[in-house]
Amino acid sequence: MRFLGGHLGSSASALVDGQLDDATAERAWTHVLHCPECRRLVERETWVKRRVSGMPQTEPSARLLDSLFELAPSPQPPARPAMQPSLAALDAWAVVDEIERRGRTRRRVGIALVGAGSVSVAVFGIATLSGGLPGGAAGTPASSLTRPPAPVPASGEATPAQVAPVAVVHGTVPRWRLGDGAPDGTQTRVVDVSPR
Amino acid sequence: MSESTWQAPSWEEVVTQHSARVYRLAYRLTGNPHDAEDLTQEVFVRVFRSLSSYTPGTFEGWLHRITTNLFLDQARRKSKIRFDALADDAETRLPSRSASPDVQVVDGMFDDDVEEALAELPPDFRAAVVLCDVEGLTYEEIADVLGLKLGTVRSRIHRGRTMLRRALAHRAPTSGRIRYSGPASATFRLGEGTS
Repeated sequence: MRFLGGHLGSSASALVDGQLDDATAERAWTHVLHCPECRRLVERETWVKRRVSGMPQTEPSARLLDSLFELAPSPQPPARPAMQPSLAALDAWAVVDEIERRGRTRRRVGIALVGAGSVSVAVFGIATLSGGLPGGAAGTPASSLTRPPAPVPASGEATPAQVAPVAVVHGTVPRWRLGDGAPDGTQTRVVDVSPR
Repeated sequence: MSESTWQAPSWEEVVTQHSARVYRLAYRLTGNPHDAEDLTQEVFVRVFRSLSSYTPGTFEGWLHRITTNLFLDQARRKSKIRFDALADDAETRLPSRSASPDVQVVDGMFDDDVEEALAELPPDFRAAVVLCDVEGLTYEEIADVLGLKLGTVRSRIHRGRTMLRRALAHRAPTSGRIRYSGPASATFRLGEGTS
């Protein structure tokens, strides 16, 4: 490489960056030693380069990282050949996974609500029915606002609510079928809340 | 690693290993964290969509290319001026700060000044300087990323640094403080020998 007018010009950058071949760099340094103008030029290039390369490192925020991870369906099944399908297939799977994820969330919420509701109904029902049980608070309507103090059960005697041992909660559509009592004639009550 | 045995990395590996590097490059190119996050997000969307078609090679180079080209594409769309048509003497027309010998150098403020000066560079020049001085790429690699000839890369880096030095003249060493001066001197002829 020949230097225009004998001076470095833009080659000063290449010299500072170590981008000249050995022979050219040798000639350039020889020139710089004897040329104050080019020496100042090289010094300025070096000064700016150090300022830029010395700027502090910045790190991505946790929020950004989370959003990047969420770009892909997660977690990826290890058996699936990652990123091998066609682009269209990848996009399609991403959409499908997103839809499924939303669906799963909705189903989980629905089941949780129905389950909680069914259990509440079952417990309420048992408590109501227990009014007719021997040993219970006989004669006290379930809706009574002036319920007398419940008698303290004898030691070892279960409360009415505790007497009902089984509450079978199967589904979302409540249909009450009150058991007529256990076949052996005990006072156990079974509340079976089953789907149609 | 042969192509037959190469296995595409999982998405978690891609994000874990390369997000910080992409974000740092995006930050230096855009000049602010908000735009850097947007650019990083867009880069990884492109990477995710294209990962299946990626062939074994330099993953970092691929990311450099996507990040830089997305940035330049956005910058060109946003700007009313086509910086790639910037005249050769453009740097002489850009506003420069007059040197102030009495300015005290405050280290904590210096980085901000450098960042600000870098952010004010035209995008094409900024990309060349950042890829060279921040990312440490060779001129050949920068030419490959930007799709330019070697001479153009050298010229852009030189002119970019010249503009930076002018913008940072108030921070540059003066003859009274250190052995060389920052501000342009009468003996320095801009554009001399540019290719």
